[in-house]
Amino acid sequence: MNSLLSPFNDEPINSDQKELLQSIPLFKNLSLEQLAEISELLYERDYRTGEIVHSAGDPATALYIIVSGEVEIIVEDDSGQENELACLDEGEFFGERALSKNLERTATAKIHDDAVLLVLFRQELLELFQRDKDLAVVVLSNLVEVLGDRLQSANYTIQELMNQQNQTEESEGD
Amino acid sequence: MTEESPPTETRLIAKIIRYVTPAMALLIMAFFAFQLPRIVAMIFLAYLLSYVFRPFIQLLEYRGFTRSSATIILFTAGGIVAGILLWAGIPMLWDQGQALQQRLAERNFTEMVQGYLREIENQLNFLPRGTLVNQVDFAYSWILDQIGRILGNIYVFLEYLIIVPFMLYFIIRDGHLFKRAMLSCVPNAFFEMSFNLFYKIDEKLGGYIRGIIFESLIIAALNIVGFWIVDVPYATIIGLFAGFCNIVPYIGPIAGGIPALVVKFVENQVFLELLPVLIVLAVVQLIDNVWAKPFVMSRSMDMHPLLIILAVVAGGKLYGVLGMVLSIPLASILVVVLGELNWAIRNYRFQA
Repeated sequence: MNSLLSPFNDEPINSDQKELLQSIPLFKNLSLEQLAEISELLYERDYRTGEIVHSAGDPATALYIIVSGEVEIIVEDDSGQENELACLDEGEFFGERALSKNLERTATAKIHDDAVLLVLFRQELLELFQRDKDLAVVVLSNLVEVLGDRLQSANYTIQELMNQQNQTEESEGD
Repeated sequence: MTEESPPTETRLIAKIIRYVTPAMALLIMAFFAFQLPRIVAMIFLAYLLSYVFRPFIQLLEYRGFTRSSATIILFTAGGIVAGILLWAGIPMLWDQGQALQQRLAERNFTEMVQGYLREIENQLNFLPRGTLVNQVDFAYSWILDQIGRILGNIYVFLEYLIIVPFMLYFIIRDGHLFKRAMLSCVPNAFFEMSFNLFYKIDEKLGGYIRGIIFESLIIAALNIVGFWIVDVPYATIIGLFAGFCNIVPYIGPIAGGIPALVVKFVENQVFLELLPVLIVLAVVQLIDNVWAKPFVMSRSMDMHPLLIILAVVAGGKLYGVLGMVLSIPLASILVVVLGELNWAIRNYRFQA
């Protein structure tokens, strides 16, 4: 197909863009053409330290990918105090709830260090998935892998906290 | 390790420049838009027409063509089809249009209608003398003027015929880049909301335009066949006119049917001869309301009928027939923008 269309096809993306996208776990194992399709959907945005990317309760419509800088994921407890859930850096993504329809953000994303983010909107990504099913399979597999790793990490954290709590209760009992 | 942040004054100036520059650009564009309404109308018309071609472009892109090559292929194919239609259709439509204009302008027809109207006024004592005649005279002159403007003002017609496709080509090829450029000017706090706004406008407007054109083509075809069956003179141009009028909600179908009745009456001057024409119009409207319109309404922009009529009247006042056609998409954009802004203010927690 590519050789038939070669008179019309330009180089899909340049090598810098290709390297950047391939370094993002969400887009690993994608072909050059598939990376080009993805790159057409991405919006590059610059954020300053302290800027809020999205707040808890906002409608979730976009996934964010960190090209450079750091982003804090924060939740507020009942007393209004901010607690940092995670600090994400280069190559990581957040806001994956946007891939489901009509959901709200569960946490606030705040720029910890001047950042460059790539924004990927659900509507456009789902349209791309509809026309390129192979790409959809690869990206969703990568997404599941990353979320699985995060869940495992969260499980370890919970287990540690439970162990600490048990030790505290035991020492108080003594 | 981060670089030292610039001083507060510098950041403030940068922020002002960042917000003020796009605002000033918009103001300048709005100023020129008011000074050059015809150019704006052409751009908007080309933008609306681009929605018709987008599914075909997307189909070619799915097959592996780049957007540029897909646009060239589509325009080449479209140009060939349009050329054949124009070569075959323009002489016939021109002759029919000229003959129709002359027929309507004949004195005996005018006097005959005025005679009937005076008889009606005599029955309706509460109406001041001459009211009906003056109003119908005014409408009749306006119709003749509109037909004359379309057929007679070749310069404007050619301007639209040449410039709009030229604009259409670039809007199809690079429209997505214009959108990205506009979004790049939006501050981060409003970025998601702005994208969703553009997306909703695209979705609603695109569905409506494709639906209304599909519906109008169906109405035109049905009318042409129906008028040909009941032997209405100049069936092709009148059927096409009825299809075109269908683009304007509520008023359009009525306005579209009037020429058929008028032309049929002029031929025989027998009211009973109008019955088959009325049946054709009724059957076409029935098919439209049962089958074609639900197809359009599913993609419609959920505007209140009163708002639609106000938009159509305002559009007609400002810019004639073209204004009436463009008023609905324009009003719909406004409704979507206001709706989305309202929704965003309620749901987003805008923070710096």
